Amino acid sequence: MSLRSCATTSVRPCIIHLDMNSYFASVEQQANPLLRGRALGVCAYLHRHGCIIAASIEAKERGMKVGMTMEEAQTLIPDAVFVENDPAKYRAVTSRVFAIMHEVSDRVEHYSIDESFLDLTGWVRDPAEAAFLMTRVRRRIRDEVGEWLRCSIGIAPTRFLAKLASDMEKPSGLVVITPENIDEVLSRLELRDVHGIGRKLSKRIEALGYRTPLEVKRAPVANLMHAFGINGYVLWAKLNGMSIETLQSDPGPPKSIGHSYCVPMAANREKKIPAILSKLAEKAARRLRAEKLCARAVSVRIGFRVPAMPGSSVRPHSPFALPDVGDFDAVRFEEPVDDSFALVHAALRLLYAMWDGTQPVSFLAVTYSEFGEKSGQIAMTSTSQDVDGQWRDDGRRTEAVAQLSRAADVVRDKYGDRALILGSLFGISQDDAPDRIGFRKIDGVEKILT
Amino acid sequence: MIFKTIQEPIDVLVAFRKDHSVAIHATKPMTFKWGTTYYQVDGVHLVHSERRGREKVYIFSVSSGALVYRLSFSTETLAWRLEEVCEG
Repeated sequence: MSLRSCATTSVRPCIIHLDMNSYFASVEQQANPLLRGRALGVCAYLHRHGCIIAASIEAKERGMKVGMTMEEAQTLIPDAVFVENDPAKYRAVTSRVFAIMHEVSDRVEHYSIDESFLDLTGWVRDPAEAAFLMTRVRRRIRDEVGEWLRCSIGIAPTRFLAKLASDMEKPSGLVVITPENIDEVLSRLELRDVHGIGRKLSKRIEALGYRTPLEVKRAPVANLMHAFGINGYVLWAKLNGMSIETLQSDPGPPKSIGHSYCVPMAANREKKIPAILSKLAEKAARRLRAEKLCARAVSVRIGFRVPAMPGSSVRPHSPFALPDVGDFDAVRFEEPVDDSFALVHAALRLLYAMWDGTQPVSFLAVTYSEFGEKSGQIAMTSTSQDVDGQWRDDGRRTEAVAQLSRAADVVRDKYGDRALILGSLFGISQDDAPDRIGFRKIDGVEKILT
Repeated sequence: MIFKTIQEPIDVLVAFRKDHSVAIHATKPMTFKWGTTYYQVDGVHLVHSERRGREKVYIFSVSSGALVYRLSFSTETLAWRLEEVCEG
């Protein structure tokens, strides 16, 4: 029996949520002191249609919001500075912050690139001691990772309330929610402040007569279940401090692997759409092999560029909302595969089934899912030939192609990603569909750092 | 604010300290020579690494005077380069 499990019998649960504030922008300001104190926008790419993926605290105070285009942000704040995102930098800082977290507790969930949960149940006597401990963690982040980095901390009995607490005071807040003060805390919030309640849901809740989270907490659960089904119960239980979700310190294998890209107009003019999709499919295939997984299903999503209406505020480039005009299709293999040839070929076949080759494209995404083991059985018929053509018609050949993909990975690991490329990628540069980072993505974050 | 890509090899004088709680902070470029000019490093603000194939490159974001420099050290070639200069 571990020390922690011995101690858990008489203590209250204590969950911490640590949220790095304006993360990508703060890391850029940490690396470059000339950016400190200035309105800074970190962009997906430096183009007037490039999307702001992070704004510095100073920029947020002046109205810059994540999701704006660079052009909109510059109109709002003419003296703002913009930099392109640098994923390696953010991953390095995240791994150092996570390393500090792991020194505090054995149960840490890497929730996203800038958020983590800690379970201090059994390690601290009360929330005050947890607050003292987390204040020291915050000091360590500033001393050991970077003095410009700030974080908000939420302490509560459940994961949901801890996240709610950390969202309440930004930047550099520390909020404790306990069974004793939860009603007072919820009475200060609006419905939209609660994680998981968006514009539409808040309107539906208000239509039931509940205008604040506190009123939802005190509502008869039957009313909420009648209106929202099981989700109504989950919301009610979370607001009442019931532990619905547990920390996932070991997230397990992924359920899907994919890549997406907001395609600039220049790529359409230069007829690079198939090459960009090939690159996305190949990058995802490489990650699939790195995870030692084989995918049975391939899906492709495509968004088409909508001609802007006069006076329209539609932004077809924004990755924060999928394009309204687009298509989605998927295919399944009879046997799970991991070789680039089959996967890229399948993705291209799906692309050409949805796209006539001329319509301007704004968004591309490829996803592999339904992971499974290869049976190793040689196919007697080539029934899946319509998906991946010649590679499926002989089992031995299929294995040879899979080995070729793995061998190519070894070469790329040694000499770089562009040491060997598929023929369908010919003509595109490193600037097309480059390395990008997502807020929920923690791939590449090293588990152990100094 | 101007960012200028340089990508030139440089000479660097580096201090390796043993008594630092964070190993990555124990390596500190002190002075570098770019062209014929010596630059005294006033502060190392961030150190991170990138993989370029087998090569692991450490990036040091440092300031000297009123400018910020991005220095890289390749663990494959053991060579230093000045990658970028930023002036405010």
